[in-house]
Amino acid sequence: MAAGPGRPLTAGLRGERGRLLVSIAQLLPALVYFALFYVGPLLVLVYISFLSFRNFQFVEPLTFNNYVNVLTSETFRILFTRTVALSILSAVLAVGLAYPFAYIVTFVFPSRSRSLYFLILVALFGGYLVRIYAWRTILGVEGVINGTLMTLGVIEEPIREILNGPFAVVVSMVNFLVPLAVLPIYAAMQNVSPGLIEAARDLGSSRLQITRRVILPLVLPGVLVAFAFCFIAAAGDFAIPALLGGVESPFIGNQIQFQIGQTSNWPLAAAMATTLIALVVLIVAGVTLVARRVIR
Amino acid sequence: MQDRERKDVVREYFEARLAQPVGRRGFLRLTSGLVVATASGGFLAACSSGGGATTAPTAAPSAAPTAAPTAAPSVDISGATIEFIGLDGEDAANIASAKAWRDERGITLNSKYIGTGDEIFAALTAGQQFDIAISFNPYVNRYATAGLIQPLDTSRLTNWADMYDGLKNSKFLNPDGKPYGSPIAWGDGPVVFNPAKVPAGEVPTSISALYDKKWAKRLTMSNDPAWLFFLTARMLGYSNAPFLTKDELAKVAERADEFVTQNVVSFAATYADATDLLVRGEVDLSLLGWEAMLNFAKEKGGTLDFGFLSEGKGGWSDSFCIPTNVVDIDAAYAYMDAIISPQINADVAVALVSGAVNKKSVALIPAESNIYDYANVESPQDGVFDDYLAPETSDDPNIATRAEWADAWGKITA
Repeated sequence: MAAGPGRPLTAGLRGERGRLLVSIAQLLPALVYFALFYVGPLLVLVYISFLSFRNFQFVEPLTFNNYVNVLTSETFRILFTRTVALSILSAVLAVGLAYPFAYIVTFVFPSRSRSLYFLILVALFGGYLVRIYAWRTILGVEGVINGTLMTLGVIEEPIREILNGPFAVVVSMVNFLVPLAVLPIYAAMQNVSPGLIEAARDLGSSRLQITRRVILPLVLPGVLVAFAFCFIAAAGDFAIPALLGGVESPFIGNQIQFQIGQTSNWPLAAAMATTLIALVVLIVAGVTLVARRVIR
Repeated sequence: MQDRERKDVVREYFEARLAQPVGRRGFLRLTSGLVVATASGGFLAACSSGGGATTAPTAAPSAAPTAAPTAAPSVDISGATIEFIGLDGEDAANIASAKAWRDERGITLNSKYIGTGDEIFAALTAGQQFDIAISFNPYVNRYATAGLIQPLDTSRLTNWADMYDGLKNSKFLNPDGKPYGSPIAWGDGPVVFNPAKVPAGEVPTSISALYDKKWAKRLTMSNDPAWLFFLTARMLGYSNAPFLTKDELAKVAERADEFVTQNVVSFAATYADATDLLVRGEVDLSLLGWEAMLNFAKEKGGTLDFGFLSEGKGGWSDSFCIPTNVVDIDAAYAYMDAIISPQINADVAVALVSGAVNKKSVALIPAESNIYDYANVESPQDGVFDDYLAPETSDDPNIATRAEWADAWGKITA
């Protein structure tokens, strides 16, 4: 129904069709942005992954050779396995640390929740590379840990293995990921009514039972989002493995960087990247499915 | 100049510069790898080492050198804008003599700074237009083969004849017999070490010495197989390196695997990263080396020294190249000629801690900054630029290509 004299402009937007149009209009800017800056480049990446690389040129015809290489190479299998394993470990540890922190902020010290929440936000203010180099200072042969242990007489020689290995990679990643994990879990806990917890307590539930049967099912979406954030961020990282992992802990991202930066073989790098994306999506979906079945 | 005297000159040079700030150029050399690592993931491989120098094919030096220190372009370029892509500092944006040259002609320099040769490759491939693009010596052939840069008309460079033969007639610059760029700076690719951890009597002079178990977990290098494979091939007696057969590559990779697993602690992303590892005591020696690291270390309170390995010469050289889609070719040639003119190139050498490319520049470099041995660039045959990159393709199916070197390295580092 068109607007006219005496009729409000929005008269035509009432009803189901009108609501649909309003929803689309509200989503349109975000959809355009998403299409231009995510879907578009992703499609270009996928297209490049089907090209070949000869004499510094990307050539057609389109081929599956790069994917065959990625899926059958022992080298890439080792890299993907290490990447997934250390990323899952880092994500689980980050969520494991973030959950009790969010619980304490929400239910134990609710009056101080803003201050504690701000502490988490402050952790995100530090630069990413600055924090990686800080871990070098802490974990290095002349770092804080070795210096303290040697001063206390616990060791006579510095422990070199603290840095330049998977331990340093996981520690640094968890340090980076915990703030990312706290945010969605804390947000989910805001929807847990204290009345439910009181009722459960009145009915004789222990703290563990309250956590397992009342709180966790309600905050599960937030926990799964936290895991996804952490796992995706960790799986795509290459700076931490490069700067703290030594020669023993490269991720698939380091190999992607090598293929782009040293050999200019973008098609192979694109195939590795799209394979990683597919793998990450499968793992996140799998974890979500299992978690929803186990935690009800 | 004897190595010992040279090192004394270097120490005096860096001690004299101790109070001076690194400057924008040095800062960006320090942080270029960090910028790339955060932004998109490229690790600086620029200016690392090498190039090629075997028998010089042609060389076509052009017009006789003029007496004027700067070029007088035959075409009026007043008011032109020069679009540059390359490392910060190599555009001579902040070098007084170059700035004076630009101001005199009303020239505007519009620079895009990058961290790796691959970013230049990507920009040119995408069709971005520049008048001058920097190329690191291993990349010249790559850009030329991809049709991204054009061969030079050296008759338009009045200072070309005064350039050292070992640079202008080097194999890396003349992949098909024609020069594809004009070198503006060069270095000799030393190894750098911590003298507190490596006493004078233990300084290695060969890669075979570095294979010894006494170097276990004491080394760093860049995450690139080319230089290590080349040196190891020479150590194993493969004089045809880098043109290795597949069997030879397998043997080289096997030895290199032992080297990396046993002796290398971590891969350095940049010269600054290598300096950081040395000063912190994480490593005692870096295969990735540049004399400027001694200055970087001083600023961190550390002391470093440098040396050379006998199996190969890891020199580097960066060149001004003209892209095939150049906007203002006259301005490009004019600025190129200015940068390789005696005074400006001397100033560039001081600023970049590099060697000068113009023979007449050497006398203009202050004694404390004159740290390079120019015998390294007198001729292509005795030059410092070993051709250490594996061929991209080969007519002989038995010769291992660059992709196969990369595969072998991937197995080592996985």
